[in-house]
Amino acid sequence: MNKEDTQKYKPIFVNSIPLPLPEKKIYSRLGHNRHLNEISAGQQRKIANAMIAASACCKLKGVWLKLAITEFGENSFTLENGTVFQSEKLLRLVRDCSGLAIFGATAGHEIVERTAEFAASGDGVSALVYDAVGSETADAAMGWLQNYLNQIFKRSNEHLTRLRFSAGYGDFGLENQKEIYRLLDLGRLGVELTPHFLMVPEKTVTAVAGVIKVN
Amino acid sequence: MSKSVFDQLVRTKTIILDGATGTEFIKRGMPQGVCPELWALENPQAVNEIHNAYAAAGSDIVYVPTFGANRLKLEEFGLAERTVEINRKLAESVKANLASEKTMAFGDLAPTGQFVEPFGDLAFESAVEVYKEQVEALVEGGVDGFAIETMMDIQEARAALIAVKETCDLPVMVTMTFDEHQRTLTGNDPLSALVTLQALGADAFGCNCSTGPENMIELIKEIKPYATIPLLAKPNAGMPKLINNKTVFDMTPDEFAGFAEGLTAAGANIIGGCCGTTPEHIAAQAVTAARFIPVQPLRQAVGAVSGARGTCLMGQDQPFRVIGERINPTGKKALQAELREGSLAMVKKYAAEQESGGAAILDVNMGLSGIDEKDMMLKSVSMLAQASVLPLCIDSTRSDVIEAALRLYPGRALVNSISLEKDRILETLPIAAKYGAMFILLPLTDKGIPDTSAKRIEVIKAIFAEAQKYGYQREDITVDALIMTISSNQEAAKVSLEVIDWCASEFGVNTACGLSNVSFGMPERKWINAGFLGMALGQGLNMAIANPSSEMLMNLIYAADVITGRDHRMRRYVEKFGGEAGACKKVGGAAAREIPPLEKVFNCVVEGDEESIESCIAEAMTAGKTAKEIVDESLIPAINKVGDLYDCKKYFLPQLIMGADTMRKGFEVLEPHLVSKENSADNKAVVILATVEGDIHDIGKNIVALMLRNYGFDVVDLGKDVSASRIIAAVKEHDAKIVGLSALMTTTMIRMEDVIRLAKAEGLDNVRFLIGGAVVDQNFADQIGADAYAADAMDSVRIAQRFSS
Repeated sequence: MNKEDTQKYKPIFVNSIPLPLPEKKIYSRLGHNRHLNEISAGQQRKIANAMIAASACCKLKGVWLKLAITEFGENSFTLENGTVFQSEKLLRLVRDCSGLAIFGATAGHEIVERTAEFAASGDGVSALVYDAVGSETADAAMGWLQNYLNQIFKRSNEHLTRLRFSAGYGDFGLENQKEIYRLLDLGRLGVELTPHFLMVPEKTVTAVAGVIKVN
Repeated sequence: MSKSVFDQLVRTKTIILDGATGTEFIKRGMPQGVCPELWALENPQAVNEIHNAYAAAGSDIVYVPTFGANRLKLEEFGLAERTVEINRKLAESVKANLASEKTMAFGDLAPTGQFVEPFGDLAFESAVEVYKEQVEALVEGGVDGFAIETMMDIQEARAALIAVKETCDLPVMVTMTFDEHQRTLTGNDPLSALVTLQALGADAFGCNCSTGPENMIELIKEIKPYATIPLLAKPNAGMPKLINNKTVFDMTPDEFAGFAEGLTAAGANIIGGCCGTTPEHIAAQAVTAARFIPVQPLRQAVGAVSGARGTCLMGQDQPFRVIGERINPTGKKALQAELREGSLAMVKKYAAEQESGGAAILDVNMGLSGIDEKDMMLKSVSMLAQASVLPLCIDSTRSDVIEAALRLYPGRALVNSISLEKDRILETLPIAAKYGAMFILLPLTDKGIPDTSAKRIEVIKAIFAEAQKYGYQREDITVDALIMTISSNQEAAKVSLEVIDWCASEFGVNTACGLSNVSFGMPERKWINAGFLGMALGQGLNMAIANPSSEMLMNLIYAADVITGRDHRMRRYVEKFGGEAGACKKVGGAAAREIPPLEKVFNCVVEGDEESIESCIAEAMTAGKTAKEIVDESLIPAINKVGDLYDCKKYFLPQLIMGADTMRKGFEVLEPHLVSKENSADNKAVVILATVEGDIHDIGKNIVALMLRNYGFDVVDLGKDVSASRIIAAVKEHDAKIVGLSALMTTTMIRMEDVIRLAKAEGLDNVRFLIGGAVVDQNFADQIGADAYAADAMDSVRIAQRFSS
């Protein structure tokens, strides 16, 4: 995509995604089983305090872009800006869609840096909890964006597919991250892409979902 | 239509709005994918049919179909340049074709689809300009008023409202869309939105879309006690269902109308329909609504400030409110240095500390030589609006700084302060009034601070008289009783107490004070402060500008709220202190049982009590236990117990790590004794750990490293994204016999095989590999020739122990 395209297909940025702490999901990510685990008040307080402190380190930002699908191939499809995504599974998801929503969210650098600091200093509990909080809040931010887009699209009788796809899932190769990164202009959120197509800070998620026109 | 005519109309009956428009367009042939506003312009007959059907059904107001006719939305269809034309012509067309002269046409303003600063990229002033363009065209087209609707973000609603207010004097209703949890998608709650928008000049406030009428009854009921303006509900015909790729709202007109009584009783003055409703729904609703008398706003003013996500109510029936004073560079060298460097890290920290300390409002003062006060105030307001739920108090002596902050702030702020000084009364007061801010009234004049309470009361009356000209009521102000230090005049406190007493008992306004001023220059200031606070509370003081980190101050306030009945059912007090007696009992109980020292160390590890292990070990050593005994009889059995609890799933990972961290700390304490006496630090098996090339996820590997170290292994952690050659080089360098490899992604796990293959090629046949990570399993380990797969950190320890035994 050249500079002109970037202007034409301008992504929309959200500087601050308002989310409550996804406590249940964080506990679940940490392996908590409420039926089996026994946890003392002191241990619970320690984990809860770490979660709150970690949550304050998450700076949830997001970005999204909607592009029309102009052509379907055998195992690929083309977007209005000329981008071609190849993936049979993704094609199956968007086969009946008029467009593609591309969106991403990041929890920012601070949460990752603090996690690394705790790991380096030997504070395993904090490292573990901060990591889980970063992952789950970034994921929850994607859920928020998906929900938000559905609200936005509702007015034009559109909605998103229930499922969303991330690069690296199934046959939607991780290398697609490069194009998604460019389309969403993720550099503006302070996100970098490694030569192996991973995003830094690592608590960054991108996905695509189909835009369905409702009759 | 003037605001007063609108106001009178709302007072006579329940106003009926129209129902859904988009679905009616589709019924009349609007194809998919077109710009609805352009289609409406090109199909005036369809628009006329719909509006006249709604008018015949009983709608007093119909919305001109300009929902998406702002420049940013029209740009999506390449129609941005026709914004003015589309809005003006649609308004003209609707006005000209309404069959009944009684039916009014309101211009419809809706979201731009972009996020407005501070929550998004669209500059606030740009958003105001986008709406102004639309408003001007609609006014030219002859609309009777405005409906700002389906707003998901308070800041965008504010931008649209300011655009209307700065363009014309027509009535304007604002509705936001709240989900079933009564939040907008951006986290705004109905009460804070009401407080913000009614103060800013909305003529009606409410909700539309998103939910059915049932949810809206609850919402309206909850905010009615705080509304000074009529409330509005425009619900969907129930909750949407997706059936055969069609969105269906299945509430019938009669069912829909059945909720009109509930909505009216809850306090709605204006009702209509949103998605899924038809002229039949509105007709049924209008008939039902006509049978009930709407409840008018219950008050003329409300003492409340708001942020984007929270409200602070003030008054004698509310808890004592502390305005956190710390975000002020005066006398704070570290904060001054940070602000001069343009950093807001300390401001953010102070905000968080004050919020957790119990502040209800955050005072923000950026007055400091050598910085651009306005710029730093705007940056602080932006940051704090996102970082804190507490409403802000904008504290500046400069009216331009206050105006800039109030314009940007996504809530109703408190202005600190307005006095009878010429610049404050002439410049700051109109600004505060324009944005509907509450203000702190300072009883001082250009001549200084009056020395008697009678003179101060005269100044208060004079300022309030001026404020009333701008529509201010008593609830909208807070009088600062101006506490002077008693060290220079022992009568000073008495004067302030008299002012507080008069304000609370006769004048009926909130009172605040800068509490710590009273003790300036005195030794042991805390006693003077506490004594004065108690006396002022007795006179009716209900706010203070103070540091909430002062435990004595906050605890006194908690107690006073119980005694004065402001803490209803003593909930806040019990919540704050209710658990403390129990906690003390537990500590006392543990001591009373006289647990043997070694058991205490054992318990520390099992409980993950890192804070106590050092003292427990010291106690054990004082009792004559050797370091080896503590290790063998307490630490090792304890960590094994933690491992067992984890294995049988009574513990989950953080508890396992807590135990391991505590064990490590215990070892650190004991190590000097072990090294000197038993030399136990030798003979540790070396484990090389790495996240393989291309992968940057390392939390799992880091936890494994911690656990292995705690179990006595010498871990060489190579980090993440490590090449096979680097790993093998480290194996050779450290003569390691165990290598742990981690990968989180299917695209990177294949690199594990590269490492094992290279080890074989280099003849390192006696090195054993264990692998782990979310995407690998035993099968994959077998496939690539790894010696083991570790399911988790504990498993890694057990495998490493097996390998090294």
